[in-house]
Amino acid sequence: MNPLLSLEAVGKSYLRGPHRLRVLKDVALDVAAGQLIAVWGKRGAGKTTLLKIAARLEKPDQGVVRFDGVDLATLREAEHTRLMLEKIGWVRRAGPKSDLEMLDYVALPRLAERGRRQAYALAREALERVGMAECAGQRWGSLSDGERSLVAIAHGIVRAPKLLLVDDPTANLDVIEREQVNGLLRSLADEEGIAVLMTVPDMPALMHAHHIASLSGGRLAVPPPEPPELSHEPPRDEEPGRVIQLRSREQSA
Amino acid sequence: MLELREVVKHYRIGEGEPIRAVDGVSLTVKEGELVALYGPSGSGKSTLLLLIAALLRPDSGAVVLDGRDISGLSDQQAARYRLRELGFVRQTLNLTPGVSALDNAALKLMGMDVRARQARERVTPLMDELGLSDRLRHRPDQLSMGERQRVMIARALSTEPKLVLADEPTGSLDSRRGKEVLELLTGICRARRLAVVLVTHDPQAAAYADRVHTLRDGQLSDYAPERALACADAG
Repeated sequence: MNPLLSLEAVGKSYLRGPHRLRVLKDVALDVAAGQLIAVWGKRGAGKTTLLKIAARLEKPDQGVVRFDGVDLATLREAEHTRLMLEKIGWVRRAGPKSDLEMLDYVALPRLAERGRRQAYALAREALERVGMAECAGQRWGSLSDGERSLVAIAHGIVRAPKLLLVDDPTANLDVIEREQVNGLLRSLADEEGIAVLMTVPDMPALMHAHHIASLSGGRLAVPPPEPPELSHEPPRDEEPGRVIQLRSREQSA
Repeated sequence: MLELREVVKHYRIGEGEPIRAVDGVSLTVKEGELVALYGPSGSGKSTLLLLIAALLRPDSGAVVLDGRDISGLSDQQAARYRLRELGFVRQTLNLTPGVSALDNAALKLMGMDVRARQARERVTPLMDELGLSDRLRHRPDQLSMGERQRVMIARALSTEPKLVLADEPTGSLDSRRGKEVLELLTGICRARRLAVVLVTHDPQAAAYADRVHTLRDGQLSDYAPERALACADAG
């Protein structure tokens, strides 16, 4: 299966005070149509940077990012803008900057291109698809965290993108809301063939992903194929990771 | 326990003709029964499992579990159903890199807000049953594909579901490891009297099922070994 999105040997660093912080080191990742790939890492591990580089919202210091076989660095600004408008959906729970009703907010990405009537019809469809049709007349401030996640996904899919980039969609959600959001993302991949790349700091949110990669110390680890010879001795080289549990809203309530 | 009544799910890609992924499927699975569905790639097997998992909604028909129509659940109710009543062994081995086999197996329980220590304690006997007691601290890259699949099975069964869906559980395994995994999965599910729907294009799975059906072009028919072999070739 040819990847829709491909990151090859991507590196990125930032200057933080006098020090250069290497956020991504030699990162390689493929995401194909119909796949949900989750990148897990602690807060500050570079997950959002990875997503921004995947959409060319940031430029990598090294490496190549290809979308549908095209090196994003070779696109002119207008071509990149068109790509972002037509093929890449970006899901963040920042919400609208003004006091819009949710139907207006979800329709926004299509208003200029499709006109009012069609944009609103598509926005209704997108809200329906994520199970939030009844929130069309509500405003961001009146929604729960779970509802905001779902509306943000509707805002991301209203353009019918080929690739959906989703930044930490399950933060602060309770158990059921998290399952709802992750089940939705999986079904967007399975049913609509969208390539979904999502980042999560919370491991139980990973379970619906087709594949999971973990980002730590700038390195992206993907489960390798089976090693040729497996020792039956417990591993001694380093301690395996342990899940450190975050208290969810439901538990801490 | 599980009943599919004339379930239909069609997809349309672009402006093309609709794909009849599931086309009027009716099926019943009793408590403690293992039903295998054969079919080549693209026959609708995985779509059928996603419908039973309420990750997709059928265009028509009903998916009924213990008298309740799953296809009519709200998204939130469906999420609750998946967490509490369903065990899903998926085709892809989505273990988290760098994390121990035990924690990978305990992930679903932890996701349900069971404390990490309790989740590990609850899943450890399952790992023993699955022959992984000496692999608890191994990371995914230190496990064979068969062991990784067994961790996935432990995760799926950790919440004591009523119904287990297994999507090509031997798909990434050679024949010997596939047999081992099937024996362990079916042994544990029979001992717990769980209902199991297993989809596969591996003919050796037939030996482990109470009933076998063939799925082709979205339609179910009774199993015939020669047709299963044809499906395996096509898949």
